[in-house]
Amino acid sequence: MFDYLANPSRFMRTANRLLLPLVVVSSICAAIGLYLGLFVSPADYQQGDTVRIIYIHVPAAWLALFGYVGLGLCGLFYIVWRHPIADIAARAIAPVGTVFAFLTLVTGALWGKPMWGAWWVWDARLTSMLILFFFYLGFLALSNGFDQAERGSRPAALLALVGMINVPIVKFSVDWWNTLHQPASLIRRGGPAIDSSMLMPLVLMLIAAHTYFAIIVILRMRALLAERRAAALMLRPNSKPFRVLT
Amino acid sequence: MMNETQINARNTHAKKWSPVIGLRIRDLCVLRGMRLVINGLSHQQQPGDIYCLTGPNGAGKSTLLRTIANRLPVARGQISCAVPVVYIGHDDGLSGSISGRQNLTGWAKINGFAYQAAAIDQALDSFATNRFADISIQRLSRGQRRRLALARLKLAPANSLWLLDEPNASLDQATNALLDAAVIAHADSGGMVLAATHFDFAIAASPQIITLPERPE
Amino acid sequence: MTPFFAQIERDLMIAWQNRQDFGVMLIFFVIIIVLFPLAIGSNTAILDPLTVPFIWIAALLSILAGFERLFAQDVRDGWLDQVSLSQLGLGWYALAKAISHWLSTALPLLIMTPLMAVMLNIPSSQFSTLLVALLVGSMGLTLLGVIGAALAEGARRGAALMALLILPLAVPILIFGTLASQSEMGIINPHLMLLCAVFVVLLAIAPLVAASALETGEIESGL
Repeated sequence: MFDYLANPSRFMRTANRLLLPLVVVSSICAAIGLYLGLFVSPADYQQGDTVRIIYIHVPAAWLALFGYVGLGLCGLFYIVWRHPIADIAARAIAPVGTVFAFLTLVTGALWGKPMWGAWWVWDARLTSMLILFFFYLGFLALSNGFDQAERGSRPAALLALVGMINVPIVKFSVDWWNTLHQPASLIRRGGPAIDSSMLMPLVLMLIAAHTYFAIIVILRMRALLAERRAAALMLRPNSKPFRVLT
Repeated sequence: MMNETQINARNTHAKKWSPVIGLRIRDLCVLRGMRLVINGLSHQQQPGDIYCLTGPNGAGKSTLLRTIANRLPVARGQISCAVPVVYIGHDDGLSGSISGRQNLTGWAKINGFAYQAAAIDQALDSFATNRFADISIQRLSRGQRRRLALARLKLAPANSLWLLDEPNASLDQATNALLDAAVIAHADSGGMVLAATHFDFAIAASPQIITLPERPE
Repeated sequence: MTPFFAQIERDLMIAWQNRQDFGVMLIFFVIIIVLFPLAIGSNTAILDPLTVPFIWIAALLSILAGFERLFAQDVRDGWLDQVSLSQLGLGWYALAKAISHWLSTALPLLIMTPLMAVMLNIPSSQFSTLLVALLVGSMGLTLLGVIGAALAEGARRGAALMALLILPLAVPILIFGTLASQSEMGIINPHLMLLCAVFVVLLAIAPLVAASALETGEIESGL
C-alpha cells in the first residue's frame, strides 16, 4: 500500500476522494458537538460555564500531539525511504500543529485564569505543551531556513525524529520537575472520569477536530505539490507541460 | 519513488564485490535542486587512463566529480569504483589555522595512508612546497595552498582514482609542469585520473577528452 | 582508531591556534553569572537558593554559544568532503568533533566553576555534587550542540536558528542537572542517574543524526 501511495499523483487522487466525506463528517460532528457542548451539557458544579472550554482545549491538545507524531513518522519515511511525499506531508502538517499547540496554550490560559487565578502557572502539562510549541517553531524555522527550500527537508526530518525521541523525555522530566495539574480525565484505567452528558460532545468535537485536521493537511499538501510542479515547469520552459493535479 | 537502481547507486561505494576494475558510470542522472544537471552520462575508465572533462561553464563538470566523490546524491544510474578515490575540489580542504604539514599528516591519518614524516616530506617535495610547509595556511597565497592540496595526491596508493576539479587554475608554469609529471607518473603506475579543466592538461600523455554538452535552458 | 584520534588531534591543534576564543567564552560565562546578582540585588537570603541555577544557566548559554561555527569552517575549507571520502566516516567525525569541542570549551568552564561557586557562597560541601552534575550535563549539552550545528549547517541565521532548535531539547538536561547539583543525597543521586540516562541517549543518537545531516549538506560552489 505504501508503494502505491508513494506516487504523488496517486496519493493525491486517493486523498481527494476522501476529502468530501471528511468535510461532511467534520461539519456534522462539529455542529452537533458544539450544540451539545455549549447548550445541552450541564455546567460543572465547581467550575461553572468555564468548563465548556474543554470542548476546544482537549481536541486542540490532542491534535498538537497527534501532529507531532505525524511529523515524526513523516521524518522517518523521508529519511529511510526518501519519499518526497513525506516531506510534503511534514511541511503541510507543521503549521497546522503549531496553530493547535498555540490554541491549547491560549485556551489553557483562559481556563486557568478563573480556575487558578492566574493566566499562566508553571504546571507540568502547560509547560510541556509550551516546549512542544517551541519544537514546532524550530521545525518550521529549520525547514524554511535554507536558501533552496529542498535543502531544509532533510535536516527538518531529522529534527522531527530527534524530537520523537526527545518529547517523551521532556514530558517525563517536566513531570518530574513539577506537577499540580488535575489528573488526565478522559482516558484512564477504570473508564472515563467524566459524565456521559459531557463525554458525548467531547468525543464528537474530537472527531470533528481530527477530520478538520485531515482536511487542512490534504488541502495544504495539494497546494504545496502544485507549487513544486509550477516551479519545475518554470525551470523547464521547453519541456512538455504536465497537468497540475488538483 | 525508490526503485532498484537508486538503491544500487547509493551503495556502490560500499560494495567491493563488483567486477569493475576501474571506474564505471552507467546512465547517470544527477539533480541539483530541481535542475537535471547530468542527464544519462555513461563512462568507463581503466587503470592507467587519463581523462579530461571539458565543457562550458555550468555543464556539470564539478557536479560529476562531486557525485563520483559521493558528495551528491545520484538521482538515477550507477557509479562503480573499486579503488580508493582522492578528490581535490574547488576548496583545498586545508584548515587555515594550522600548517600545511599538519594538514597533510591529519589527512593521511584519517584516510589510513602512510603518515610517517618521510612520506609526508616526500609528498611535500613533489610539489616543491617545503619552503612554506610549516607556516600556517592563512598566510599563504592561493597558489601555494593549491600546491599543498595537490601534494595530498602523492600520499594516496598507486591504484587510486584522482578526481581533480580545475587543478591548474591558479598554478604557475613550473608547478603546472610538476602536476603534469605527477599525473603521468600516476597513470604509468596503474592509477586513474579524471580532471575537469579549461586549460592544457597533461598534454604529453595525450589524455582522452569527455565533453559535457551545454545544458539547454 | 588512528583516524578518529587524528581528527581530535587536528581540532585541538586548530583550537589551540585560536585559543583567545576560549578566553572570550570564559569571560562570557563569568559575566552572565555576575549579571544575576546585579539584576536581583545583593540580599543573600534571596540570592543563595538561586546560585546553582545561575551557574547552570550560564554554563548552558556559554556552551551552546560556541557551537555556531562547529562545522561551518570544515564545510567552507572543503575538509568535510575529504572526511566523507575517508576511512573515518561522518559519524565518527561528529563524535570526534564533540570530544574536541568539549575539551576545548566545556573543560575550561568546569575548571572555572569552583571559583564561581566560591564567589556565590555555595557551601564547599556541595562543590563535588555540583561539579559531577555539571560534568555529565556539559557532555550532554555538547552532544546536543553537535546535533544542532549539523542540522542548521548552511542555513540562514544559523546562530539564532540553532538556539531555537537546541533550547527545547536541553530542557531535560537543565531540569535533571539543577536537581542533581542541589541534591541532599550525595554525589550519586537519582537525578544524576536520570541525567546520565539522557546523556547516554544523546550519545547514541547524536553521531547518527549529525552524520545523516552532513551527508548531503553541500554548499553550492561551481557547477
